[in-house]
Amino acid sequence: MTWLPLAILVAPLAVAALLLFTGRRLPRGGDWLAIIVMAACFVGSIGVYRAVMTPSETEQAVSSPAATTAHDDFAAPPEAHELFGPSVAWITVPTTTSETANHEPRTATHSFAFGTYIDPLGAIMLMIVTGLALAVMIYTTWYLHGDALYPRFWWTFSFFCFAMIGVVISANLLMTFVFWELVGLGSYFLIGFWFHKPTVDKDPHYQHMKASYATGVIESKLSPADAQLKAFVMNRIGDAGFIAGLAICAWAVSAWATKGGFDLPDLLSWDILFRAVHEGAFDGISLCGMSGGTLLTIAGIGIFCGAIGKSAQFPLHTWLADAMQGPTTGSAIIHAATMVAAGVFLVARVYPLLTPDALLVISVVGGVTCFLAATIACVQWDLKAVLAYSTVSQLGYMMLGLGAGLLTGGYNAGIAHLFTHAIFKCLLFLGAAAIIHGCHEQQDLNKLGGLAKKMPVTALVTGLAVLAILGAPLFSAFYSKDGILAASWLASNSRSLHAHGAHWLLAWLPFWLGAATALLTSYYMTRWWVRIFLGQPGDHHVVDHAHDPWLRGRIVLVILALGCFQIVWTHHLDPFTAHAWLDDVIQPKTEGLYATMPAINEAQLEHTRHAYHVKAMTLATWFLAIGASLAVAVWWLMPRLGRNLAGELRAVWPMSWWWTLTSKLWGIEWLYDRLTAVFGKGLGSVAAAADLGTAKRLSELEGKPDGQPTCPLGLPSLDGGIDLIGRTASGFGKLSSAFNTGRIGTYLGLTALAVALVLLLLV
Amino acid sequence: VLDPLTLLIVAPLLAAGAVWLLPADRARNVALLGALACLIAGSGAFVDTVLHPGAGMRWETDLALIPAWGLHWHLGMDGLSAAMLALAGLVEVIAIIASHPESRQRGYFCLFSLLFAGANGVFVALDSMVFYVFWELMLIPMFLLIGLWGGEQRRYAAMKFAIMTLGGSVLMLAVFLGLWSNTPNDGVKVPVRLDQVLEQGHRADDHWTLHGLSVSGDPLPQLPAGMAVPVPDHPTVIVPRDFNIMHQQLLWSHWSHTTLFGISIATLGFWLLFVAVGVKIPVLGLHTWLPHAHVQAPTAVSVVLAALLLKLGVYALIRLPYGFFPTAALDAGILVAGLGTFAILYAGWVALMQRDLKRLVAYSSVSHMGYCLLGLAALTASGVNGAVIQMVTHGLGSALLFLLVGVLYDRTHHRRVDGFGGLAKPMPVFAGITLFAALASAGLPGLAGFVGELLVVLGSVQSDAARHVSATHYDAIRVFGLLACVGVIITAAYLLWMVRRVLFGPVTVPEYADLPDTNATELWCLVPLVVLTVVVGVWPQPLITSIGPTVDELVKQFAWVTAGNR
Repeated sequence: MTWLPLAILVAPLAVAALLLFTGRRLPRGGDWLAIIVMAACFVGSIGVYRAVMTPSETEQAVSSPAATTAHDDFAAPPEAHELFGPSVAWITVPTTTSETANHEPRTATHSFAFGTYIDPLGAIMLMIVTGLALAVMIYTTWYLHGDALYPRFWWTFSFFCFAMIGVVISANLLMTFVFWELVGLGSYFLIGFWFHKPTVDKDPHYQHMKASYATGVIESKLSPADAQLKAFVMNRIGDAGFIAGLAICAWAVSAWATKGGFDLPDLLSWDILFRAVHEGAFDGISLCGMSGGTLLTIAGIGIFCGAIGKSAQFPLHTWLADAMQGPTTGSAIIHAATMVAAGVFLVARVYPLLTPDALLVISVVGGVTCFLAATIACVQWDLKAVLAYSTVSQLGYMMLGLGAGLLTGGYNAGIAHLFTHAIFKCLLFLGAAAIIHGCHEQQDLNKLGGLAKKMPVTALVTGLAVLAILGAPLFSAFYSKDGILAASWLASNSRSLHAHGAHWLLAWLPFWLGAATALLTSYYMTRWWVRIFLGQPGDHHVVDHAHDPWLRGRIVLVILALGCFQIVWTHHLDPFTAHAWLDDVIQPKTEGLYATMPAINEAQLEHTRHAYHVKAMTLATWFLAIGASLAVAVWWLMPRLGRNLAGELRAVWPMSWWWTLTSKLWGIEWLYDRLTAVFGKGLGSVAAAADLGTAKRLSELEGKPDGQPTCPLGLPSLDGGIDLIGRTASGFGKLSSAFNTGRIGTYLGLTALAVALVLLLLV
Repeated sequence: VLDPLTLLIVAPLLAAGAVWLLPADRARNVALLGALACLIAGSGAFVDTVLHPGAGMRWETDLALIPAWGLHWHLGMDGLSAAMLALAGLVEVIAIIASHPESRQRGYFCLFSLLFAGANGVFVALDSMVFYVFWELMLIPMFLLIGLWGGEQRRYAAMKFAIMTLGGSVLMLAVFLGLWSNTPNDGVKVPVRLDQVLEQGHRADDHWTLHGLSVSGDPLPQLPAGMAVPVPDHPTVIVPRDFNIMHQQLLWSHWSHTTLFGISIATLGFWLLFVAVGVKIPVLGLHTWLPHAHVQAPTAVSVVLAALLLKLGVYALIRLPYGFFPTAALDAGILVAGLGTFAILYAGWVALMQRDLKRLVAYSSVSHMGYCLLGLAALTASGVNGAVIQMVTHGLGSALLFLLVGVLYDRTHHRRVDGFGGLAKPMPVFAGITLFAALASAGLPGLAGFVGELLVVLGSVQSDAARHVSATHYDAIRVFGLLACVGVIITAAYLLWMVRRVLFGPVTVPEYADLPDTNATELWCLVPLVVLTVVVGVWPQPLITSIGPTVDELVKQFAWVTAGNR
């Protein structure tokens, strides 16, 4: 059983490698091979899940201490445990230290290893990843059939699955980073699937199907090729923070181990890393006057930067909407269900590293993201763009939950939302794929409408998914979404108790933004569904031939729809605190934060949490009712009555102002374009000119073939300055021109002469 | 005389002679034969250091040339040399295969072979004069290769290369001779590390020797178990006046206490040598010959220049300034690390806006070499290992990128980034390898570039090499390590933006719609590099096993120096 996760990891890689070289020669592009292997992986991951949740007698030995912790509220159910796979050293660097008393150098060996690790969090994530990948693969055989690049999808997608599984089952921070970047590469491949397309302002097809209202997109800089570049570089911005945080962690652990005088088989493995934090490894380091505690916060925020990039959090969220340039089914899993959720997963994984300050940062970033994206989603007219911004918003929601801390229940709710969201957002994207495919690639909500009759199955399942994302009772997000709201409410309350001014504002901001998002979400998702499936189509030609997907597609949709119901999740949403370290490490650390809370003992805390959950549930249900009714009124009822209420509202101040701001994406896209122009290209040009001289100098250099550099020296460039030194050193040029006779014999003779001369000089 | 290390020098020299004598159509094959011999010997050396890792020199040859002056034909290698020799052999073979000079075949391959002899010689020379001769032997053929077979501006580029690098070499020679003439006739008594004696010394009948010098000191009261010959405590040796590099490395405490013109010889010598090898690395500020040389040089010469000659600079930096003058190196650590970090960021920024593909790759080399400086200045095991791995991986990556630019240039006769577009459609294999090379160069985990950059960052964040400079500078190298993380953004930006403009989007130039994809000869050059890039990226441990002991020796020496033995 310990080998099973490794097998699940390697199998998609083998498929990807095989299909990369042979895919085009295999029948149907080798899709059957990818699907069969992924099905096997899914079955295997069910086995892993069962093994983790119900250990057999023989595997008791590897079960974690948490399994026996009698901690009713926070500890795992007694049957959950961890599964450590085989581990091999990847890099072993002997480290010599002079820290010993007698100044004799001593050598310690610290390794970075590759290994697998599964806990309940990972086991469920593994099932979600392989299961959704399988569903999407089967669906894609319908969606992409006939595409010229059909074989290319299968190896890129298998590669992505390999990387994603790697993130889930990695046993240490470094390997997580390795697979983390590979996930980014998989996403790069899939966004640029149609790499040959021009930018969308020159793409007649896109111009035909794009939404009719301005959306703030810079069309001359949007194409699959640009989108993939943007996604990769923005992810890299986050990853720079990730690797800096990782380096600080490695420094602290290494210093701790050196002082303790022991070798580490895997420097950054979860158990060593968290034990080191627990035992005060960070107290042993300092940087520029910052204490170890501050460095721990910085490391946590640095790693969170990686999550900001991958999970498209503010301010790095802009790549996700562009990523919709990829095939919709690819987006379904990468930019909705799994890759973007990896950031949330990472935060959950490194939770014991996160200090209260880091959690506050995560809360604020999550709150700002979910609100910002929700406001944008309200005014988007591209049906995929609505879903993209909705994804950003929901990811912000998860961060909001995680940032609320463990004692508030935010950790649990955030992770629960990660899983429930993965299913219904994947379903929404697959539904969108069906609509786009059925309506001549039309994505404009204005031209769609009344599709419920033509696509009953799609209408039904996406309707269920919308209810789920709204957090309606009996649906899956009812628990997770309200839980996040309750936790952030509680956290904001306790953070604000002794805070004043800006700190007080900062404490409450995440909750306010989260609550507002609940309202906005119910509005824009209802609008999305109503606009597509009810009412009259804006353009009859578009919907004339609309139809549900093939049978296999419908089956996939219906199976995923089952995952939208609360009942499926009932027994699976609680065990994430099985992390042994969460009890050992987090709780003592966060006690300080919550010491001001009126209730601190277990029973009282449970009572407080329950009270907040009820409050949040009431609030969220009201918001749901208001937002959904508003959307139905504006987008279904009023058009039936012949009134364009939306248009009228848009014209009234301050709605006009708000509409402009949000439909221009808050100006962020524009700002980044300017920043790239100034700091990337502008500053790059200045640096280039300072180095080799201006374009004029270079062209003059190039324009004088084989001549002495008679051009202006190109000062103040560095190269020009060196030329000046060279020219003042007289005679060098003439001397060398004597060598340049063009005869090999001369050159070889001179070489030999030079060597001989040197030898002679020495004697 | 035909031990493997001499073979590494003699084989290309013989090839050079044979090329000159035989008809022109044999030139390539003869040169290839010489390069293959180098590859085999180099790989053998590398395998030996992997299977039997250890610090200290092995396979030594020591013939006295001028005994009175202490001038010896002294060759030897350790893990660091061996890794470089293996890389050199590979690059040499690939460069010969990738060469297709249009004229003067014999001269071209003859010079190429001489260049290889020089490069291999630098990696194995243990006598500073022999080192210097090989250093020059590699510069002059390179000057001629650029100056005669280069592009339109070849003479300007070649002159710039020659003046800057030869200017550097003069400083090197000056330091070598200066050190020699400042050593007293009867030698200097200096302390050495006990563990160095135990690890690298030899047991003679009744005493220990280290690098051929007999070790004296206080007798140890207790003999370690199994030691037949008593080990002296506080060991010292008397270093004679000679050119032996290993002996020079023992003399550091002497130089830090001897002054010339009021400056300690250690400081003076360190900076002179730093500039001498810094031109070659190239260190930021001394790098402007590189873009010119690369742009003008033919493809294969660019490959050798980037993959091999820049490595000689870093190799010499580790051996000479850092080996000879550790006290000065510690004082200079902040500046070296700062130069490295600034190079990573600034050269990346410059690369972003380059319009010539070769110039872009040239600046990426300057940026990548910044990691070597940073890692070395950190003086931690991770940092220095990372710096050396970065040398190897940059060798693979830059060779790959220059070969790919050559593939394009052969087909289209230009290298302007904005003159291409959508080449992934007509040339899928080329596009795949180019994307691969860009990602490897951008440090994608799983490919070679990541390992070096990771270890450099980890090593420099852990560094406390600056602690002896002053309290305020204590954290400087750590902060530089964190700043270097920003490099991963810039590197990805300029490489993948280049990839996007050249490979993706619609085909912009109609004539390029049916360019032929890579042919078999080109694949013979590219595929080995691709495979090695993956192998080193996935399984870097053999490389660390090979270079680790040498690096550890360096780190130990510095730890000893910092621990109060200044």
